Amino acid sequence: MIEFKNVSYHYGKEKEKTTALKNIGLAVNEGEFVAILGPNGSGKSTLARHMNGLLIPSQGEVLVDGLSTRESGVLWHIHQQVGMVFQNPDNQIIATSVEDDIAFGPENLGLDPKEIRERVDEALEIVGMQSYARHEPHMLSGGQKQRVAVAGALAMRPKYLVVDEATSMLDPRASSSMLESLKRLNKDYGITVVNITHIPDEAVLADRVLILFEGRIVKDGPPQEVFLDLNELREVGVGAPKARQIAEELIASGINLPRSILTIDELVSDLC
Amino acid sequence: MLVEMAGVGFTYMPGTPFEQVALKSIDLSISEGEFIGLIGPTGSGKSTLIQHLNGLLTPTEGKIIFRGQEVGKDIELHSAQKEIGLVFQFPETQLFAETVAKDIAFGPKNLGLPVNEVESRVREAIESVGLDYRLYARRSPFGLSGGEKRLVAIAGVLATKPRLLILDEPLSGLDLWGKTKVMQAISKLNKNGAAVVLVAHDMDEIVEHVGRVIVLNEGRVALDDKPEVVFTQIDYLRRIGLDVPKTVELFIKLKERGFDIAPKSFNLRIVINTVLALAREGQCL
Repeated sequence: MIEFKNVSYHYGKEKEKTTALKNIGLAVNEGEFVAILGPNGSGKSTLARHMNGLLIPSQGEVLVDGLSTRESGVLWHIHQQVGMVFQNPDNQIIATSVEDDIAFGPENLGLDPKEIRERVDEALEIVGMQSYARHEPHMLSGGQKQRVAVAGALAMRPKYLVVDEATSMLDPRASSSMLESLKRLNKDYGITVVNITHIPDEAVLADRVLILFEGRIVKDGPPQEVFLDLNELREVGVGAPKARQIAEELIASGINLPRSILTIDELVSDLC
Repeated sequence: MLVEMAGVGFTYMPGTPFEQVALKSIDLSISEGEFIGLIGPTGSGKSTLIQHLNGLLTPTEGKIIFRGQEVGKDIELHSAQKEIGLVFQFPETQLFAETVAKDIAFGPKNLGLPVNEVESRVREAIESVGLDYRLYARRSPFGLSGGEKRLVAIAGVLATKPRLLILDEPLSGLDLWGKTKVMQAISKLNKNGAAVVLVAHDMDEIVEHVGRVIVLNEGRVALDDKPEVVFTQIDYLRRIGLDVPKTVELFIKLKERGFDIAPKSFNLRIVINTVLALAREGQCL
């Protein structure tokens, strides 16, 4: 479990202090697929960076499986447990071949070369990039690079994977295959996934959606519940999944439809 | 005709081992006042194509014609460039001046306009992206939110009053507020007569705004038609790595269920009205 206990975080010095997180209380349970939505500047990335101790709370504490990110002695262990993937794949790839890049983390753990080989192969297979093991990362497409970045995180065998806007620079196919990979990691490999996004249609895939606004969690629940009141969402700068939006318009025009519709398939079967 | 590309081909690093053909025999023309969506999978040549439109790249084959005159032959490149604005991806990374007003003034100043004209253009540009001049003009662009910075960067290009505005993924990374503001600013400019080329991955945004869609694949123009024609090529689009707007998906799935529908457009408003009409006829529900 990743637990936030009354966490606040301030950027900058006394005079120009801005508060990015305000009294966050949150528990991400093992096996969950959580999406975090919120407008620009709502604190999404700051929250994500607290999950593996890249940022340490100004007040309160973050516990990963009971270990506080404040304890510098356990930070190394926490980094292993909580993998992170960021927005821009070009900033995350360091080696001259795909397999070397993925091996970087396990090598730093001082593992046996045989064990490293196994982990690299397994990670490549999970993201479907086996045939690219010897390729040069800079020759890959954005979506492929992003999958290599995920594989790099997976080779550390993390329990948790935090993904910060990892699809925003990808084309539609690359971003849907990235989301499928995340879903598979969660369902088949039991990895807890936290997907930070600003795309409501992406949040539909999660079991649980959190909405962040001005550094606070303003909504937390299954997507059907979170996307119930669209006006309320608009006030905190969050849109709705397209199918939900269409359904809402139809409801407003007198068509009898449930407000739990989140996908086009659901909309079609309720319409017909 | 505002801009024409005639038989344009472009090869990166020709004659070297790294030679890469990015564009192949592109023929297309853009008229005054058009609103065009340019889509294509990663690596299809979108960025290379738009850099030809404003002369950042010169074709290795074929020619670019601006208002009937061949660029580089009949007219100088810079005289065409004055009327063609290009907003790069993440343009906010190019903000540099100490105030919003100074940053936006950079373009019109470089056009050699008189001081009072520069000032009025700056004011107009700030207002046209929906920001209040009094509140923003003297602020540092670096203290603004991501969405506000993007708007300021776009205002900087609008201040040069382009007749053709090209935007590369202007919405990526923006939240609901930012997207709405940016799209409002672009639509307003288009209503005032400027042609717009919008490069975007978000098909839902494309279908809401444009009157024409150009699909690029492997350096060629694969489709070039009205959105309601292009987006019915669903199998083709998915095969090359693109997707269709959610409104199109809805129509296709309703059709699969045997409903007789042929919408005039895939614009959200029209789709909703079509479904409503269907429901009233008792076809659905």
